[in-house]
Amino acid sequence: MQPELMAKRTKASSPDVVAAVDRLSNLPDGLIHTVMSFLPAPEVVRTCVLSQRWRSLWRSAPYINIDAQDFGISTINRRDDALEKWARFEDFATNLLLFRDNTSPVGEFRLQCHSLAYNQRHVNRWVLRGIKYCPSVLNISVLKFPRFKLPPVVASNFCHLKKLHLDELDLGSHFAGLLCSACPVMEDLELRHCEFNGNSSQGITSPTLQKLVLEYCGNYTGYPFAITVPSLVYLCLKYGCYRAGISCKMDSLVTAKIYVSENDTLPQQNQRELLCSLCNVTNLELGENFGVEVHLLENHPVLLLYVPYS
Amino acid sequence: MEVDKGKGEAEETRKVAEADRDTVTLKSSDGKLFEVSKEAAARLSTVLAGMIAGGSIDDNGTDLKQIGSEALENVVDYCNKHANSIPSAALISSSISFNTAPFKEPEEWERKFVDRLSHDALFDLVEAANFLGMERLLDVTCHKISEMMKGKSPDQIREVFNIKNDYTKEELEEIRQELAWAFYDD
Repeated sequence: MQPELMAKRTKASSPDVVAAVDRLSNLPDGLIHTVMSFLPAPEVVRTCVLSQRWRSLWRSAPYINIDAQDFGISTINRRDDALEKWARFEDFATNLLLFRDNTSPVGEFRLQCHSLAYNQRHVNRWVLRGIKYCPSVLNISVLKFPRFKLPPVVASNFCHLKKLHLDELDLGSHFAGLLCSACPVMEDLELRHCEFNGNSSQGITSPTLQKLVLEYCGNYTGYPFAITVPSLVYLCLKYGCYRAGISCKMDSLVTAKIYVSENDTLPQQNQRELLCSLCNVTNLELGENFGVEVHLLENHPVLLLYVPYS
Repeated sequence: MEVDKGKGEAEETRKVAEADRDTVTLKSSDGKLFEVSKEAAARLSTVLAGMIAGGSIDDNGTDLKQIGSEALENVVDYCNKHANSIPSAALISSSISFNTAPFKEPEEWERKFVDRLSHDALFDLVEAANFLGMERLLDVTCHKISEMMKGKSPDQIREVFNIKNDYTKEELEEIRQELAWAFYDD
């Protein structure tokens, strides 16, 4: 204990002091996994060389975080350089999913490719593998042109899903049906730059959803976008394109943030209908481009109207 | 019901704490007593919430035999600071907390809170938070530990945490070959 006491005195404010006892390795696996959840995936795997205690800890980590940024991949890379980095990233991601202990449950699966993905087939496999773990948190962001198509997934794999964040995906024509039938415990859904396509009406239906964020999403089905979320308390709708309108059912809503662009987001008639459906909201933020005369709402007893002025 | 209670108590937290009401007394392994906001304790610790709900809180100091006074002081300090730093938006959107940040990034005051701890105090706090089922405090402390590892070589990590390398040279070589896809920089 003596060296530690002295260390404390000389450099009391920083824990980066050489420790006398190996407190880190003495933590239970679960806590080491929590520490690992904050590290980039390559560093998590490389902890295996620290000591025998660490040899297989990475294999059972319940957080999988595959991020192209950890491989220095960004949109501004020179092309030759980028291909080499992508190959390294691809090799890592495929091996990580292959050699981890696949009997250990995964609570959170995160896949981020914020640069152009070079090989859709590999990314497809990672996404399918990630979903197959039945995680409770799923976060997928794949930048690609044209948009990355969410591969067909098995609905039962969404049974534990509480939080789903998707960015830059083409959600095709099945996503809406999947959401309402396959996610019995979904609470938090964030969709950014995602597209709904197909020849049938789509929307978001969930009896359990509490938070919904739709930013820069587009509904290109030609049918109104139906949002039926009776438990929703927080809605953020930012821009995007819903030319066929949005029909809402969200009676529990408390907080709403709604931003529309002048022409594209919503037809004016529908903007009015949307505002009328926010009757129980106590905290409302409206973007400045709202075409509807908002004074209609100013007499509302509990409405806090905040119109940002830029 | 839950919502109204949360609102009322959070607004009153400061007053209540000063008036010495609505707090619970906790007793460390070495017999020291600490007062903590009952609302914050119940919100931040699943174990304390269970004890409060189950009526097993002792007015003369609830025994927490696994936690030393220094760690318990930090736990109590954290709870009380948390009780005073609830953003007003959280009050409006009821008791549900939404993490907008990627992963569970600590807030600025939480960073400062763990930055001032010594190496041992940090680990004592991790263990106390684990014992008391304090998920948020566990994230904050484990995040701090991860920062002490991030970007460092295996040798540097061993040095910071005093991890004894009990591999043979041959074993290490074997691991590096097997997991060459993770050691692409070497």
